[in-house]
Amino acid sequence: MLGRYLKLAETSFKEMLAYRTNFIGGLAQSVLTLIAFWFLWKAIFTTAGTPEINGMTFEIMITYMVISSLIRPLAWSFVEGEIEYDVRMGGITRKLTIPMSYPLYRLFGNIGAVGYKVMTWGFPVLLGAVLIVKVSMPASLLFFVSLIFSYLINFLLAFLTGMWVFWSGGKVWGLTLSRNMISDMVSGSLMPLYFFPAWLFSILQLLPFAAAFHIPLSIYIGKISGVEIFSALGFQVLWILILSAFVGFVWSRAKKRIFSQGG
Amino acid sequence: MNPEGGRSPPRGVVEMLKTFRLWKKFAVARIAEDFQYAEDFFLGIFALVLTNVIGVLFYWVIMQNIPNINGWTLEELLFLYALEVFAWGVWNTFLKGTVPWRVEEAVRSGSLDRVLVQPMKPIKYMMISTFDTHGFGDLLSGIALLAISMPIVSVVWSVEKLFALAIFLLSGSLIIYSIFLAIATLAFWTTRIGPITEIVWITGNFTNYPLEIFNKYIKAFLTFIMPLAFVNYFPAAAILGKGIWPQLQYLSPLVAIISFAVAYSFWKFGLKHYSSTGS
Repeated sequence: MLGRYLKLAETSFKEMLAYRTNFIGGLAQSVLTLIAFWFLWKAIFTTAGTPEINGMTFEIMITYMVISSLIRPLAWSFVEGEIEYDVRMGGITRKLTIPMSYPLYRLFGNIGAVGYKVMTWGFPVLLGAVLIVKVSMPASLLFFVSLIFSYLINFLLAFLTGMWVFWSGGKVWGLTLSRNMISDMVSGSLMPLYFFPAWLFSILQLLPFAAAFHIPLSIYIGKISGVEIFSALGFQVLWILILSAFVGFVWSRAKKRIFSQGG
Repeated sequence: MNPEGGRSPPRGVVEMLKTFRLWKKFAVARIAEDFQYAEDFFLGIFALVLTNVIGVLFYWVIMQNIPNINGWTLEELLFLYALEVFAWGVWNTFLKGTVPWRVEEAVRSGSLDRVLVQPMKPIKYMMISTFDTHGFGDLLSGIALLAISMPIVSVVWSVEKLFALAIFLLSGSLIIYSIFLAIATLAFWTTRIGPITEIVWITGNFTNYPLEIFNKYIKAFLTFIMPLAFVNYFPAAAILGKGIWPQLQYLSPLVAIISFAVAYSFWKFGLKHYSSTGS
């Protein structure tokens, strides 16, 4: 049963290999963004005049930003676009007749693509960052577990927004962009949540967006450590369960819509 | 003098009206297309506005921790950001006719040849046939940010200052336009200009922050090579009466004209090369 899905992941991995995605463009983008952030944080720490702000030194801050820029592309998925394409081109009806669950079909197809990105992009850049920019190593190896959970949370969120296509009449551009923007704003991926005022921090850390970025990044830099790591991982699992249930519910409604309208 | 003796408007005006009418047709068609998926379209515009809200939130969170960045207060940073977002918004809505990816696509698909046989300069045709509703996000944000930041910065808004601001804003859009026009022209020789375009795009983010925070190489790059500092930093510094290199601060209009002249000559040169090789 699982074999079929793994085959799917393998196929999408090979597809990515065949159509080499724009590596240089992606790398230049990340590096330039990091350079801008480097100068910005340098200026902020200089103005502050203290070696630490909110318990973070300049070096920790740079590690945080580098790792964040590394996991952001890994967490991005094109699930929404794929669902939109399936619906507009009518491929969805065919995919519903094969003996695979459509959400799982998309998940494993996506895992292959992300696997490709991890191999060709994630590891080399992480290595380069550790060697060249002297970014510190993860404080705990549980970071990698947290990263997998983070990927699942992002996938589920993307699948949820992707299903908007069944109600919007065929486009998901707007909602996808909105989700990405909200995520950038409140997930801790662009600005560590520790810099937000305490009241806002306590609200934002409860959201799934924070579970996807704030938690793995905090584990990496050691801000979440010891037993706290396990409760953080538990919190991520909780969000995975909630979102899965939600995806299942909306998907069953969407399926009804497909069958009643004939695709 | 009109030979028929009646009073009709001069040729130039007639020409301009005709062009405007054509532009309007393309714009209306584009809007109608977007309204087919109205809900998603408005969500998209909302998201594009959100991208700028993130910028503001970013400053706000920073200012919860420190009082200013290199002497720039939250109000002043908002004004700096407003100039940037507005200039990009105008470009994004009205001036995207000759952006690199469109020119590249036109060369690759051969549709550029169709443009070349139009009874109109290619640059003009491409310009009026491309009205981009996705620019509304930046345009609306830019207007809102100007409206919010102008009253709270410590500037007495005299007529001269308002006039200078208007000229600076237009110059900013023209500079952005010229940079992209120059890069688009490369498409006549190579079809791999995607990464360069992306780099310009990302470099645009550098001007979210005051120029002072960068080292001398980046300062020089943003001033003399890819003059994005003239889009918002120097104009904002001139109006607020602060910042580095005061002797350069009022030069945005000049930089805009020079950038356009250079980019346009390069474009014409590229077009000539394209037609002669017929590739």
